Amino acid sequence: MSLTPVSSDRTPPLSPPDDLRRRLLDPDLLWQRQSRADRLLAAEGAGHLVHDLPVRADGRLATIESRPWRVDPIPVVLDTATFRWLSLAVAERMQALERVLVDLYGARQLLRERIVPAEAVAATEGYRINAVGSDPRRWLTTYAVDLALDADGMWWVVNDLTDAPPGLGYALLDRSVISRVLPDVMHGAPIASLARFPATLRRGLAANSLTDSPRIVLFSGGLDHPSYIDHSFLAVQLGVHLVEGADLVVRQRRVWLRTLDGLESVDVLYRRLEDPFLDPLATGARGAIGVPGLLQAERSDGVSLANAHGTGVLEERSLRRFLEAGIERLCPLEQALPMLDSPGRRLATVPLAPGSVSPDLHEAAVVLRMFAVYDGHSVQVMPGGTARVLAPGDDPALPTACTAKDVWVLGHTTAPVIGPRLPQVDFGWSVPTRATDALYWTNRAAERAEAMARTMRVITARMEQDPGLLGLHEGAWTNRMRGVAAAVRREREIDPFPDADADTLREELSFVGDAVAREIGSLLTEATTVREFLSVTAGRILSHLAELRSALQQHLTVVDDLDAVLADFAALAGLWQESTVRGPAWRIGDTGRRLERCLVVLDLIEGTLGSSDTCASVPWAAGAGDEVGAAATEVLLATNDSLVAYRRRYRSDVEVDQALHLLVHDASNPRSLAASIVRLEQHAADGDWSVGGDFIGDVRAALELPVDEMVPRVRSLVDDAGRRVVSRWFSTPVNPIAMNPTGHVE
Amino acid sequence: MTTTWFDPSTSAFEHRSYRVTHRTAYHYSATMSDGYTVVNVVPRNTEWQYVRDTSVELVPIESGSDRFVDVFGNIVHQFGLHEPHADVVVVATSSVDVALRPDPIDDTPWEAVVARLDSLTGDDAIDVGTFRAASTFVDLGSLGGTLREYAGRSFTDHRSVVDSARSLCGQIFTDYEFDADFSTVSTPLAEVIEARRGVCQDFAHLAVGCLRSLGLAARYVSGYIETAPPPGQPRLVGADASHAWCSVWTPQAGWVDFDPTNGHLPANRHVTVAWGRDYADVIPVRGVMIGPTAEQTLEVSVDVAPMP
Repeated sequence: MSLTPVSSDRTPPLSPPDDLRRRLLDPDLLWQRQSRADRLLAAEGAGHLVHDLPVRADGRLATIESRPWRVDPIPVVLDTATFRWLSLAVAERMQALERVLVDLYGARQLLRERIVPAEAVAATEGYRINAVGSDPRRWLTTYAVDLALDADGMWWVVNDLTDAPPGLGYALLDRSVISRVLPDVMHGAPIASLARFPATLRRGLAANSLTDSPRIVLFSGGLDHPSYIDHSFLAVQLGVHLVEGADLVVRQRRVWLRTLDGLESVDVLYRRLEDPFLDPLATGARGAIGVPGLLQAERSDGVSLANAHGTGVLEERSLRRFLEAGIERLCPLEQALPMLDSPGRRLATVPLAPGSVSPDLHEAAVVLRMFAVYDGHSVQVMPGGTARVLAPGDDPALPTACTAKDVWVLGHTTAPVIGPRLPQVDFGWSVPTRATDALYWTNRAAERAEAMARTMRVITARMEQDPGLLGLHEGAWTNRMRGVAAAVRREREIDPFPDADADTLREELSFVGDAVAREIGSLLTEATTVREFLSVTAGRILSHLAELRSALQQHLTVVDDLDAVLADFAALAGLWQESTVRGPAWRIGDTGRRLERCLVVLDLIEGTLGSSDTCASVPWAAGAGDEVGAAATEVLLATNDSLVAYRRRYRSDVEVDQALHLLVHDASNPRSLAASIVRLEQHAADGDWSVGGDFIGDVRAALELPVDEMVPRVRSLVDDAGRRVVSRWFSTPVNPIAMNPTGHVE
Repeated sequence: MTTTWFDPSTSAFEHRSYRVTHRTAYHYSATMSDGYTVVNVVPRNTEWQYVRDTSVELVPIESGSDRFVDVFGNIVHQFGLHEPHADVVVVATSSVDVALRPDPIDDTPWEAVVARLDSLTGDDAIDVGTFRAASTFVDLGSLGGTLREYAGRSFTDHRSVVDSARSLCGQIFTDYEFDADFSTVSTPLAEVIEARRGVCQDFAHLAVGCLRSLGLAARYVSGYIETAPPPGQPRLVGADASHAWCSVWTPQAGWVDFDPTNGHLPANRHVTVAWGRDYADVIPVRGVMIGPTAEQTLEVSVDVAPMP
C-alpha cells in the first residue's frame, strides 16, 4: 500500500515546472489577471447575479445565500504521474463506496458484524430507512472527493461527497474564466482539457436507464438552493433542462415534466437536491420542496435517480471511522487514501495572487476537489478540478474560503471527441412550463424597465439642455413631466403642484429610478432560472445590468449610465430576436414583450396628454402651437423611441395628431400599438393557442376611438389578454402543500 | 432471535377478537389537482396478535396505490389521487385476534441487558440495535441527562429490566397528567417534560427516551386500545382513538410492551398497528396535495368493537 506516488527527481506536487511557474507567477501580470478573472466571473453571473435578493414576478422572495467567490489566477498544477496515481485512488475509492452502499441498504452485513453499528447508523439523518431494500442499477453515478496534501507529501481524504456532489459546474466555470485570463500560458502548455467531461457525465447518467435515448433532466432546488449557479452552468454544459420540483409530477409511478405541450416522461433525474429533500412523502423528509411520490417512482423503476436516494449516508461525519472500517472489510484498497485525522495537520502550500484572499497572504494550503463519474463500465476521473483556498486556521473539512483555484493536469492529453454522441435535447421544443413562465415575465420586465429608463433619460436630458422649460407657464411643463414620469411606472394618481420646480421633478424621476432597479431585479431573477435559454452573451449583459442596478439603487445615475442601461436593453432585445430558437417558449416570451409594449405606449400617451378625464379638455391637446404641448409631445415621441422616425416621416415641427398617428396606427413604426398588434396576431396564428378570443379584433376597433376613450379601452383589453395568457399557461398551482398529519392522541 | 407470530388456531393462549374501523377525513376549502397520501393504519401480525383481514379504502377512488412493507415490517399504503378533489377519506377496517399475554419474565439486571446490547451481532444487531439510537422526536443529545436522571428513579442498581420498566411505566403515569389540549403531533419532548402533561404520543416518547438514555433498546408502538364505556352506559361507536405506547427489549422475554399513559402492561385490549423509532416512522395518515392555498379540516374517528 503506497500512500504517495514515489518519484525521486521531480518537483514537489502541486507546483508547476520552472518555466510554467515563471509565467504563472509573473509579478507584473498578477494584479491585472486577478482583476480580469474577477470581471469574467462576474460576467458569467456567478459572482454577482444571485447573491442579491430580488423579488420574483409572483412576489416570492428569492432567498439565496450564495456568496460571490473569486478565482485566483494561479492554478494548482498536477503533473501526469500525480494525477494518474490520484485518479486511480479516487476511482478505486468510488467503487469501494459503491460496495459499502450496496451493503448498507441491502444485505447489511456490516451492521450484522457490528463493523458499522446499527445504533450509530439509525441515529443519522443520512441513513434513509425508506431506501433499505432498494436496488438501484447504480448508487453512485457521480462522486466528488476533497483531498489535501500534507507538508510531508502525503495525500489525505478530507471529505467524500456522495449525496449530490457539488462543484462540477463551478470547476467548468472556473476553467472557462481561467482559459480567458491565461490564454497564452495555456496555449503553450500541455494542459488536459475538460471539454469531454460533460459528455462523459451524460453517458454515465444515461447508463442508469434501460431506455436507448433517455430523457435526462438536472433536478435542482431552484434559485433558493445555495449551489444554484453550479447547477445552472452545468445544465447548459450538459445540454439538459434545469428543472425544479414544481416542474415535475409523479403519476402512474413515473416522473413527468410539465411542458407547454402537456406531460412528458423523464427517465433519469440528475438530482442535485440532497436526500432529505427529494420526496416530501419519505419518512423524515424535510419540507415540501421535492417531488411527492418520487421515491415510489424510483422504487417501481419508473425513474432513475443519479445518485440514488440514500447515498448521503456516506457523508455522515459520525459514521466516518465505521465507514472506513467497512471499506476495509468489503474491499481493501490497493491505494488507500487515509482520512485526514486532525484539522491541525500541516498542509503543503501553494502561491496565491496578491490580494486574492487578503493583502498579506501570499501562499496558502488548498483542498483539492476531484470529480468522478461511473460511465456504465468504469470510473472516469476528470483531469482537473477545483481547489478551495484555506485561510489560516480554517478547518479543511468545512466549507470556507471564497477563493477558488483552477486545477491543471499536465501532459494528460485526451483524444478529440469522436464516436457516438448522445442526442442533445432541443431547447426549442418541449419547454418546461415554468421556464416559459419565467421567459414571459423576463420579457415583460425588460420592456417596462427599458421604457422607464428611456423616460428618465429623455426628461433628464431635456432638463439639462433646456432649463428654461422648467419655469414655463408656472411649471406647467414640469408638472406635465411629473405626470409622464409617474405614468411610466404605472402610477396614475399625481397631484399637480402649483409652481412645480426642478426638485419636484427630480424627486419624481428618482422614483422612476427605483422602479427601474426593481424591474431589473425581477428581470435578473427570472432570467437566472432560464439560463439554458439565454446565450452566453445575454448572461454578460445581465451581469452588466446588475451593476447598473446598484448605481440606480444608490441614486448615483447620470445620463451616461442611463445610456448604458438602454444599450444593454437594446442588446438583450436584439439577442431575443436574433439568437433565440423560435418555438413555443419564444412565442410566449415575445407575447409578454408585445403586451407590455402596448401598455407602455398607452401609459406614456396618457401621462403626456393628461389623464383620460382631462386630456380632451387640455387646450393644447386639441391643436398644436402651444409651447408646453409641443415640448411634451416631443417627449412622448422620444420616450417611445420614435422621435427620429417622426422627423424622417413628417419633416416638420412636432404636432400631436401626427405623433399619435405614429404611435398608435403606423404599423411600420415598430414601437407603435399597431405593430405590436400585428406581432401578437402572428403569435396567435403560429401557436396552437390564442391571446384570448376576439382580442385582436377588439383592439383594432378600439384603436379607432378618440384618444381619451381609446387609451382606457385598449389598456383594459391588453390587461385582460395578459391575464388570459397567465391563466391559460401558468396558473395551475404546482407547489406541494403538506396535509396535516394525524397523531396518536388517546 | 426469530419471532413466532401468534396463531389463534394453534396457540394455547386465550384471545379477544376486535373489529377496528379507523376513518380519517380531510376537507379542503379549494380543489386540489393531485394528492399523495401515505398511511400506517393496517395492523400487523405480532407475537401476540393475528390479523384476520384488513382493507384500506380511499374516497375518491385512488388513481394508483401501492402496498409495501417497511424496514420495520409495518404495512404501509401509498395512494395517488390525480383527479380534482376537495375531500379525501381514508377508511381502514381490520379484524384481529389479540392474545392474552402472560406476565413477562426476565430477571436480567438492566445493566447486564445494556452490556449484552453492546455486543449484539447478526440480525439482532439490526433489529434491536436500531432502537437504541436518538431519533427525530427522541433527542438524546440535549435531553439525555434529564431523561437518565428521571429513569434512574426506577432503574436502580441491579434491578431486573422488567421490574424497572414496569416501575418507570407507573412513574410516568403518576407524574404526568393526560391533557389532550396541551400538545400537538409535533410538540418537542422537552416541552412535555417541562409541563409534565401531554397525550399518549408524548408519554411513549418520554418512556422511549428514558430507556434509550440508559443504553436500552426501545420501540415506539402505535395502535388502538379498547376503551370500556362508563359503568351503565352503552359503548359509543367511533369514540375511540389511535393510541401509542412503548416496548423495551429484554434478552429472555424479547420485546416487552408497556403503556405509560395507562400505567400498565398491555394484556389483550391493545391492537398493534406498527412500530418504529418514534412517531415519525409510523404517522397514521400524512401526505401532500398539489393545488391552491387552502384551509384544511381533519376529522378522525376510531372504533374498536369487541367481536364475539
